[in-house]
Amino acid sequence: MSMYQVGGSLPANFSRYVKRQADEDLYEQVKNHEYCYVLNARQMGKSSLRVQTMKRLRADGVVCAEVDITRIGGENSGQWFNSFVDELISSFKLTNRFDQQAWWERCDSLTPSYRLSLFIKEILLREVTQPIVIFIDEIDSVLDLSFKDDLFALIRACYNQRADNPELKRLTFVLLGTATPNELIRDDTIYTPFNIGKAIDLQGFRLAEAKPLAQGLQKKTDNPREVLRQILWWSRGQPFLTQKLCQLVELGERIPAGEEQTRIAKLVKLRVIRNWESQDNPQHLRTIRGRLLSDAALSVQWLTIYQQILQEGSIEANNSSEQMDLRISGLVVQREGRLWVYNPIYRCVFNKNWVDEQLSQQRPYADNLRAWKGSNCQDKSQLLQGQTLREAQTWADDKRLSADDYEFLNASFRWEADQIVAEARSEAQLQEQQAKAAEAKATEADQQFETAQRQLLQIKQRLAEEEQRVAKVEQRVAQEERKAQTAEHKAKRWTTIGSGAIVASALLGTFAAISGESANKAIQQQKAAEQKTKDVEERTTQLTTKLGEVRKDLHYQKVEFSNQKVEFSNQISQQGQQLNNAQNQKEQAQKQEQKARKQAQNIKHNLRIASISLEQNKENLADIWGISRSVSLMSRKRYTESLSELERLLEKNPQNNFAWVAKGFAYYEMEQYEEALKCYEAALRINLNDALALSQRGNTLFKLGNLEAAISSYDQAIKIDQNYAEAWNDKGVAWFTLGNIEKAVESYKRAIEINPDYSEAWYNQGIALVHIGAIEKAIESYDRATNINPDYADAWIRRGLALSSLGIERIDEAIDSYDEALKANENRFDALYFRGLALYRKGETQAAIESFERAIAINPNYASAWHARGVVLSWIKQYEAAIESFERATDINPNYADAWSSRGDALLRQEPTENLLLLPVTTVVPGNSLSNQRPYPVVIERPRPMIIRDTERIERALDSYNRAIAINPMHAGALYGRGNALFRLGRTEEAIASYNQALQLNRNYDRAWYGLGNAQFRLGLTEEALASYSRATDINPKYIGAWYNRGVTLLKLERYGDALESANRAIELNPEMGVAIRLREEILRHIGRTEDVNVPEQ
Amino acid sequence: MSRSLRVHPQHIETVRLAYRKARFSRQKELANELEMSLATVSKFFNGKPVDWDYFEKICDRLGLIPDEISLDGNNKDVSEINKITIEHSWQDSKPVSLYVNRPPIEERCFETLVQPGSLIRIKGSGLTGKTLLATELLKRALERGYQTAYLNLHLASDTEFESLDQFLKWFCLSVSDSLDLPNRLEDHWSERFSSQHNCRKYFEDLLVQAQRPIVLCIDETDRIFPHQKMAADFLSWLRGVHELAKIQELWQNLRIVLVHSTEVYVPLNIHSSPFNVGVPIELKDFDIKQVQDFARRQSVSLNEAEIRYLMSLVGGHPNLVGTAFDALKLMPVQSLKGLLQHAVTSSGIYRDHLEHLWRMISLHADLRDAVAKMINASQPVKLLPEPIRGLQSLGLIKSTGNYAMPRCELYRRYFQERLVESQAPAAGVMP
Repeated sequence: MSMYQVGGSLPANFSRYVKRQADEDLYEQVKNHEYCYVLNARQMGKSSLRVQTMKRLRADGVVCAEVDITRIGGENSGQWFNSFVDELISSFKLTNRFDQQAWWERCDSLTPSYRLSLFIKEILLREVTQPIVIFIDEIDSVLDLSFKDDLFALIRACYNQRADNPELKRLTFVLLGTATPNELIRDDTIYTPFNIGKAIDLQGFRLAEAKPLAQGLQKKTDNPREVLRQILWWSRGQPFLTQKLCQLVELGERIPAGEEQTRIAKLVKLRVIRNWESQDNPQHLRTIRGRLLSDAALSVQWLTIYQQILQEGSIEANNSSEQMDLRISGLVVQREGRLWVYNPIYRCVFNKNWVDEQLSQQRPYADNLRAWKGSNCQDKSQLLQGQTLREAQTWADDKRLSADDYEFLNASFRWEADQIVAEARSEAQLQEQQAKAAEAKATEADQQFETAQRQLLQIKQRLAEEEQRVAKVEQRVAQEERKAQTAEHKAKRWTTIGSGAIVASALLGTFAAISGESANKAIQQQKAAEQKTKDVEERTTQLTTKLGEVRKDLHYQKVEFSNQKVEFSNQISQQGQQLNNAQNQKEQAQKQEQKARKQAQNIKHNLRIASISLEQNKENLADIWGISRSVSLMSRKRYTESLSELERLLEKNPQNNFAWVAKGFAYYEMEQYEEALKCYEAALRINLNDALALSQRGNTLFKLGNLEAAISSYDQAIKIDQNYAEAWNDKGVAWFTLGNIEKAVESYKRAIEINPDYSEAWYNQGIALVHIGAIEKAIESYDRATNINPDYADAWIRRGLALSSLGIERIDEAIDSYDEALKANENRFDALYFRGLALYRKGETQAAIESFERAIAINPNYASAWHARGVVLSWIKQYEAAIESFERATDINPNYADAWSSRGDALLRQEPTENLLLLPVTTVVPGNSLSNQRPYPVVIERPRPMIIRDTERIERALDSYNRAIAINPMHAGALYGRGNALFRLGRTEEAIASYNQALQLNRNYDRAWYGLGNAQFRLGLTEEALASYSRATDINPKYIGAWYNRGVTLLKLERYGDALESANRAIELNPEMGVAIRLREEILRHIGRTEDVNVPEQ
Repeated sequence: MSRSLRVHPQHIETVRLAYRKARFSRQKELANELEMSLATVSKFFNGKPVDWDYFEKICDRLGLIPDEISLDGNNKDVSEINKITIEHSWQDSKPVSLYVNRPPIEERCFETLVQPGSLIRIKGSGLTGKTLLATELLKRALERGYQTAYLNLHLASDTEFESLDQFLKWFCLSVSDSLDLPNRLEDHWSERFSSQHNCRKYFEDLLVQAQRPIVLCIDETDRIFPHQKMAADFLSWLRGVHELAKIQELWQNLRIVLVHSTEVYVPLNIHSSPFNVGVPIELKDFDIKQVQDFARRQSVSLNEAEIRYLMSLVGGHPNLVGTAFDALKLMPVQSLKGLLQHAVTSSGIYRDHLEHLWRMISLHADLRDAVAKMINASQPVKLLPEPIRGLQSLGLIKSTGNYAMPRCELYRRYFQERLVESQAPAAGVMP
């Protein structure tokens, strides 16, 4: 068996235990009842120290127990603390000293850590009368436990309570483990025992201390002391390595005198350093390696610090957390205020090559960095760009890197920025060229279009001319035809005359026999007639021939014309097509031009921003990286981290105004406006002309309510940068908030001029325009905003509101607009609400309710939607559901006066036909002469199947109205409703007062006038009632109930003519209104116009 | 409805014969190949109820007809159900005199074993004789008057790995069973405490009962590695109780022997790992002296040249050497050269062993790729950790860190041929 033990704690009776200073320190402190902690690297002999100390203390009569945290385990804090207690029970041999069963049962209701505390005070201190020490080993294992603070608090409490409970002085805790105090102590120092205890410094073996180790070497050397000295030179007393080297000597060959140094060096090189990864058994070096590479976020920094130590031999110790981490790994040690590599073995194993390789595995850009550094930071081709740079940035984001890393990444960013600017410049040029080309094309297309248009016009003209010609020809043909017809007609007539003449001459001929002369005459006459006929016939023939010719001519002409017409129409359609093409081309060209212009503008804009930021940062180029990192953190809403990053930058360079601005922005986003303001002012102190800072300061002042100052800040920004669209826009918002709409609109206009694609400015302009009643213009403005950004839900909603304010005709457009808003963001419950309102106005009640319910599904606390849903449900007479809906609204917002009022209405089941006056009518006795019948009033109950006088319900309604009025004493609707409720309850005087209150608020409240009239009528104030009804009908000429009641009132006043007019108005509005028809009958009866009265059957 | 079957007592010998004919080196190989736990296979051969699916699979592999040899699994004696017995692998036990010493390993182990609270870790590739060494140690411990407990984690069924609590209960029960001590789980397992704590109390009780050192051998420790969280907890526990021995006498009576074939890949802090303390024993293949000793014990007479010739093919692979010796004993007339001539082919003496390895790597593409990469290289090649572990537990490689090479020439040549062969048809399909 070897005399040495490599790894693991040494048994208590191990004879070759090396006593160190720490042994004395710990023993003394614990004897003095001081709490102690031993925090050190692994395999430094902590546990062996504990074992030895326990042994010594036991010999002194101190009762010791040891709890190894790794042994406890457990699914939850209950099991954990219970097991802890049970460990103590068996360690202190208390198993049979108290009734465990009863004790545990008592503890079941207590919190886990309190059980431990109770055990210490009730059992341990009572049963054990000697001094007690509890060692807790592997304390770093608790770091992973959620309830570690409970344990620490308990230990701390045991110490703190020593003053009150002197018994506790007998109890001492010793904590051992591998962790930095930082890891164990968090922010809340109250709970940690690490600032009350004594730290025990555990160092490596010194030659004087290590004597016991020499024993085992005697077999293999005549000079064990020298061999040991050599071993300690290599291990620098690191216990594990020292034991390991001793064992190697013990099991190895004999070392001749004088060769100690070379032999040990050879041994170390062959058995420890060479192929160390496979020789490292038990594991030691691999643990150090594992710890160095364990944290992806910190490894690079650790390695870089270590690299520096390796290169420079030692560096100044500053107790930074990274240095502490390195120390706890055991790799480096602090001596005389400096950090050193612990021993030569580590220096050989974790050598420069090893560090380089690890770093290159850790850094995604290790090769580039090396090459770049190698070129004295000149070789730009090694810098990162594009995706690689983004990846490097993401990788670096949550890490703390070395100065080299940051320098390299900064250079990359700078290089990329330069390139982007250059690219943007050439891109802008290209785009401008394209825009010009497009413009030329557009002009050409324009010309082509004009030519085509001209040609078409010419063709059309020619066609018109031809048409005229054809018309002329047709006219001529018509003339000729008419001529021909006349001729024919004449010819016919002559023929008739001719034959008449023959008959006459025949007759005459008979007479001629008697008188020859006259017979001769007759024959002559006949001949003349015949001649004439012949002439006419001849002319007719001539004419007919001519007509035929003309017709033929006409036919030809027509054929020709129709041919021509076809040709023309072909030409026209051709030209039309050409025209269309030209038009299309023109439009396209214009569009292209627009696009190219816009692109060029955008690029110019970007270019400007890029060069501004480049310009601004010229002095602080080294910080671009940090800033981009902080901005990227901000964009992920990690403001606190971003702030600390910026503070780091500012600490280094307080003159970095961009960092100040960014810091201000972070505070601004965190809504800490005062802080933000300070940052911007700081930025402006450095550079008064920082437009960005000025405009941001404006925003901050705006948030702080100092609008004038905000505006002047924007103005300063604009002064520096005339084309600062955002500043113009923000200024507009400030003016708007101040109520100066004109100036607001002006500002927005400027913003839009500078950047026509500035959707927010268009949107803001829309809002301002609505404010001054320019609704159509506002809609145009919203249109622009939504054109630019179709996902601009706010703009869609505003657009919908503007449209619906234009009346029912535009309501469909409004609904479409809300739908677009929902397309952009389906969770916009306000859009659903407005949509519901619009649908309700359209009368689509079911759809409206659905819309409200969708809104509610998204936001169950949306009181307005609950209210609106109730209103629609009331409208379709689903009163109970409506009441429930209102009550949801008032549950959500108990100060929702409208909801209370509407609830009252629903409880009253108020309907438009409500409260019609009772009509005095004549009973009709069959068979009696109607004219002689004296009228006497009979009460005819009007049909009201829905209304059951439910006093309790009306009282509830009254309460509801009173709630509404208590919240808002100016709530006319509630006052009116209260009047109705009081009226129903018979409290007429109070009703009148309530109606009057409503009317004071709104003189045009028709229904309140009507209600007032009813109340007055009931009190017999007929004239006053008449006046009230008249007001109601004046305000609302379609108010049937008012007309009817007015009629009844007039009838009562025996003003039959006026009464009849009123009744007729009511019937006009609703021809099926039974009571009104009966009223008219009654009035007519009084007037005596019985003929108009329909005699009821039977 | 019976979902489980068992081998009829009358047919136990039949199935064991069928198993021998199938020429597996051990039951674990059969279990691995059929992707079931060793516990199941062991139950099968011991006539205990086995899930119907598994029963059929095993019969299928061994060329048995289930209906002829089976008995309804539900017809079992009550006494049998209650008693969980861990079967000693009946086919693995060889006559003790045949054990080949590998000085100074045995002495070193035994020296350690008599130390209070000692811990020995035996590591070696598959089929290097780890279990034989452990058995040898236990035997010697028994002779010295110690209590011994042998535990093969492969005999734990999958359900034991469902939770730490379940596993530790199985662990405790198996240990007390192996020690022939009564099951007192009921007395020591309390919901109030953590499983680890309960387990510790159980062991304290065992140690008190035993009143003398207990040697606890945990074989096939690798089985728990894939259950990383549980492995970390269990192994930390082992380390924890090992450390207890430093301060508590009672625990000094617990001596632990851990046997594993692959690197420990459970992420463990070194302070809570049992693999960073105690005495490590790495079991390598036989050297020439040991092979000679082996031959002598097996009464196989070979001269040094012949032995060197044998080792040029199979190295010091104990199992392969043993197979050659067995064959020589059966066919004394056959010269070694003749015997080995066809060793690499599917008709040689190693055919069953090689076929088994081939089936195993064919099941796992990553193993196959790793083998392909390795067999054509003259130097050790770098492989991913997972295939290395897989090949290590099959005993197919020699490895240092992430570098590996075939364990012997036989493997290299066999797989060279098989891999070429297996690729040929694919090439033939091409037009």
